[in-house]
Formats: sequence, C-alpha cells, structure tokens
Amino acid sequence: MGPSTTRTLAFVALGLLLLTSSCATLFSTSSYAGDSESIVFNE
Amino acid sequence: MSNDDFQPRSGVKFGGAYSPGNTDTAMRGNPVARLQSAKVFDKSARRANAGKTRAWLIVLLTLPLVLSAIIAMLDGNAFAAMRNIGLFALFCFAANTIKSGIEAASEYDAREFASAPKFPRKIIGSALLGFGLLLTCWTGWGIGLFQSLGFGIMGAAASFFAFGADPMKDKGYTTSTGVTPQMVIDAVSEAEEKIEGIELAGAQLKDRPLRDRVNRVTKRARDILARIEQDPSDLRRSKKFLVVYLDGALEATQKYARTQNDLGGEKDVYIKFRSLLDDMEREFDHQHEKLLTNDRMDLDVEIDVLADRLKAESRL
Repeated sequence: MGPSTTRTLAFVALGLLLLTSSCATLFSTSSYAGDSESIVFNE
Repeated sequence: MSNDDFQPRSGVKFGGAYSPGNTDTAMRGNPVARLQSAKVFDKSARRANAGKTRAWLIVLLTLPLVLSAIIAMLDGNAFAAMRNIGLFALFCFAANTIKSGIEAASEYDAREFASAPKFPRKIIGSALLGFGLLLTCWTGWGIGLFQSLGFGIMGAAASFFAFGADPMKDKGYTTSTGVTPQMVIDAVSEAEEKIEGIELAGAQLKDRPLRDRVNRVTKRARDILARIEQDPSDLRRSKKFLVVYLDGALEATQKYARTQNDLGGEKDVYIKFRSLLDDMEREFDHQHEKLLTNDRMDLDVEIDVLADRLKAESRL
C-alpha cells in the first residue's frame, strides 16, 4: 500500500468521523427540538 | 501528463516566452535553460492542490453543524446555537491552518535551500481537528467524555496521516566554496523582497509596455535566484549582481511610479527609464546565461560598468 493510498484512506476515515459527529449533533438537536415541541403541545 | 500544474518559478500570467512582444530569445533558444529555471513542480503541485481541496472538504463535511445551529435557533436555544456555530468555526479554522501548512510545505519542497516553516501548521491543524471532534461528540452528540476523547484522538491521527507532517529541519548543504545553506536562504529572501517591491511598483505604472518590461526584468531575476539555489557555489558573485541590479531597479521603478503623474508630456524621462529597463533586461538575460554556462570571467567587469550607469540613470 503506497503513501498515496494511505493518505486517501486516512482522509476517508477523517471524513467519516466528521460527517458522523456532525450528523449525530444535527439529529440530537432536531430530536431535542422535537421533544420540547411535543411537551408544549401536550400541555 | 498535462502541463496545468507546471508553473516555472519565473512564470507570469502575461509576457511569457511565447507572448507577443517578448524578446526572451535566450530562453527560447535554450530549452535546457527553461527546464533548469523551472521549479520541479508537477508532482508536488498536484499533491499540494489535492491537499488544499481536502482541507476545504472538511468544511463541507461539517456543514450539518450549521443546520443544527439553525434548528437550535428556531427552537429558541441560544446556547446550543452558539455552541454549534462555534464548533463549525473551529473546524473552518483548523482547515485553514492545514491549508496554509500545505502551502508552506509545498514551497519548502520546491526549493533546494529552504528554512523549515516557523510553525508546524499541519500538525497544529490536525490537533485542532481532533479537539473539535472531541467537543462535537461530547457536547453536541452527547456521548461520554472518554468516548469523545477516543473520537478526538482518532480524528487527529487520521488528519495527521491524511495531510502529513510539516518539514522540521532546514534544507541544504555547504558548498566547496564555503557557502552555507543559511547564506543562500538569506540572499534569496532578501532578493525576493526586492523583486516583490519592484513588482508592486511596476503594477502602479500606467504605461503597459513599461509594465511588461518590469515584469520581464523580475521574471529573469527569479530565474537567476532559481539558478543560485541549484548551484550556490556562485553565490558571492551572483549576490553582488543581484544586490546592485535589484537595488537600482527598485529605486528607479519606485521613483518613476511616484512621479509619472507629474511628468506631463516629458518624453525624455520616459525614454530614459524605458532604455534603462531594456538594458537591465538584456544584462539580466546575459548574466543568467553566464551562470548557466558557469562563465565567471567577465561577470565582475560587467557588473561594475552597469552599476555606474545605474547610479547615473537613477537620478531621473
């Protein structure tokens, strides 16, 4: 496995980590927002 | 292989070897000289461009943080919004730091003699990415601190392997004539500052043919610098040539740029300055060829002759 392949694989791994954490934050924020909305509605 | 990434050290957008009005016959007639004066750029340029694109992809991949900030704002959650925007800004800053580290490493790779960059920006950028990941996982995603630390370390390591380390040591060798790497680096930096000064002053000239002449002079000066880097044993003589000519060209160009508006219809000054630039261009071409052929015999004499002329002509 050459240096170029290593760099590419490392970047793919980095990309997955960033995308996962950002999307998880987005879902977490959306579900928190959704929950608080339903609480207000139920009241 | 395409030549899109090939950028000679002396390359300019206009006024290149095959542009109209160009009299770069020394280079045109000497393909070996063209190659010698160019940076060996294609592989490292492609890698640098790929690295910079990847650095900006980091910004794209963290865009969901902006969306989550908007959702938090709509929900009335100011702290969550600020946190998410702050995290996105941290990732942008890290990407920018890595990008500038890639540019510095590319410049270092392109030269024979180079100082290591002052700050290891790629390593700092990778550490910032890891820290940003840690904060995003811990505060945004809401997983535990240890898991977030694990993600942060993985992210920093992945970034380090993706973008590489910064150059840490100065580059170069001491020649048989006693020229050290630091002497070369100092001479080249000093000359480059003067060339940039000439280019800045040249950009202010309103007359296009004069601007073109200034561009050709600075282009040839850069070729000479490239030649010094490749063969620094001639540094002492080349340095004298560069100091005398570049100082003279800088002073004359700055003076003309400052006073061009006040000249009115004074053709004399314009013709004198144009003739000075033509002679300098011819002399730079001549000296460059002499450096290439290692002909040192007449260098000193010719430097002194034109130095006297520059002293006389700079009183424009």
